[in-house]
Amino acid sequence: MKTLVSDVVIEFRNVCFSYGQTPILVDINLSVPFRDFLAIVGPNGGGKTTLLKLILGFLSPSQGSVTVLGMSPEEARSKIGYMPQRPSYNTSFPITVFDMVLSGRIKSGFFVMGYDKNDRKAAEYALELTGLTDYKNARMEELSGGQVQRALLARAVVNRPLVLLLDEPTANIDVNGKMQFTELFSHLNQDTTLIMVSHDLDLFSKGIKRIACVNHTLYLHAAPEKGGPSSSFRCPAKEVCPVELLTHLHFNGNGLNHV
Amino acid sequence: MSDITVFFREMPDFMRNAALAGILCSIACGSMGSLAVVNRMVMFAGGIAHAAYGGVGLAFFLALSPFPVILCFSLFMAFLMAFFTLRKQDRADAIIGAIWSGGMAMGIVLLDLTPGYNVDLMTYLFGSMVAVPASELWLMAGMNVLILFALFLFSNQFVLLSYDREMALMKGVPVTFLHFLLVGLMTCAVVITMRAVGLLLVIALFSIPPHMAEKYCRSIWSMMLLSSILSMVFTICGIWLSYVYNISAGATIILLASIAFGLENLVSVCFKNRLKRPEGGNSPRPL
Repeated sequence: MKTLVSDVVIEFRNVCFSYGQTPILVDINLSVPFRDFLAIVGPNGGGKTTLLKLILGFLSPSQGSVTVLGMSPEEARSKIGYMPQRPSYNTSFPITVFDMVLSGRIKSGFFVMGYDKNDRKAAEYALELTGLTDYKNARMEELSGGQVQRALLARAVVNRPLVLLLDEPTANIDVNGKMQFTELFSHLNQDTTLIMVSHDLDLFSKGIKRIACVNHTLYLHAAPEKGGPSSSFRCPAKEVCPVELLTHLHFNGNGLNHV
Repeated sequence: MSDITVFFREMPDFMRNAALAGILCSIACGSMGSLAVVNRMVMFAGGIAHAAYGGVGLAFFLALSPFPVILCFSLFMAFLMAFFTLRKQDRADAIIGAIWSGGMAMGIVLLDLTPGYNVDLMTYLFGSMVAVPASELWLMAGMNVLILFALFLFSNQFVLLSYDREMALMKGVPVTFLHFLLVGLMTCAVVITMRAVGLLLVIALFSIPPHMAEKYCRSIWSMMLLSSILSMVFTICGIWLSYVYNISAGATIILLASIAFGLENLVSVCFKNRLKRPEGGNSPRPL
């Protein structure tokens, strides 16, 4: 899939979305190139998860269009890896880590045969990548919070997706764990486009290439390593924009003047 | 006659049928009960079992053979529940309550309207394993084969659907179809079990053995196997005790299961307390 290197992987064109009468996203324009690492931040109810659901095709825009890899989101779904937030799955279900990761290899349609050798190999590889090989026969319930997040990541990457969507992957993880995740993401970013929703303020972690602040509208901030306050956009959502807050703290040394 | 081996060697035909019915029930309840427990659908099964009472009433009112009428009526009610709960899963209990009571009320009214009604209603409330004719055993066996075949065919999809519905949807698993299939299979299992242990006690066999099995299993399939075995032990022992002491078989089975459930919980609670690590004595777990 090297032909995609310079291509736009995800494109939002004048996208609006509303639940009933309440507008959630207004006139979103965004193009994500191949191997981008985009972090999405913003307040609760600002539309971060809605944005992810539009990319996955679970929701369709009320106006405008979303294309993923040049296709509609539904068509592109098999090439997208998705790591959900923790509460979305049945926590007490009896399943081993290996079987859980393997389930990411399921094919769509009515009559699918069992998993074959390739599927098992892919699951072994994903476990190795996330450092869970020793836990492959453990029950999901027996894992710690960080290990669960790793297992969910392993399932998301088991299909070698071109785009990886991460919904708050490092929530409830300690600093050491977050650093390990950061390294893992940088590694994955070598051949995968990453889009990560995050509540955390540690946005200046290495690897993130762009930050989008979503609060009904979307503002792109330049790469945090390269850009000082002058090169990052002035974010109109500054009361809630952690990027704005942090650039102030970092570069002006005085966050109190912000508001 | 008190020795269980002697009992099974020399038991009369009707007891042999009862034992076979018990084994068939155990397979159906062990497998579908496990899926019901992990999907939090035990009350759904209870709803089907009670709504099936409407089918009993309908069969007697129309003077038809009870088993097929009960099955069709239960399937209809179950799909109705499945349809309404599919979109509103957080309100499933209210919908189940409505259909649970509605089906039962319909059964009572229809039986009231049936002229010269004198069937043994207790058969359907508390079951009568000793009254299961050989012909119905074949029907039950066929239903078991159907359940196991469907589980085999859709095994991976059922696992993903039960574990993570959102992911199943994303992966293109036919979620709606499988939801209805699950409900249909569960109804088959409920109707089979109803005949043996009665509709009021279906919930016990659907919840006790799978719940006991769950914590010892690493997959839904081993959970199904273990809970089927547990169910078989409860039903066979229950039948034997009911014969020896001349008490109701269905109630004896459930009582045995409940006692085992209580003991198992007691033992595991004591065991857990003994193994509890001292406060602060454990090193932090790796990521």
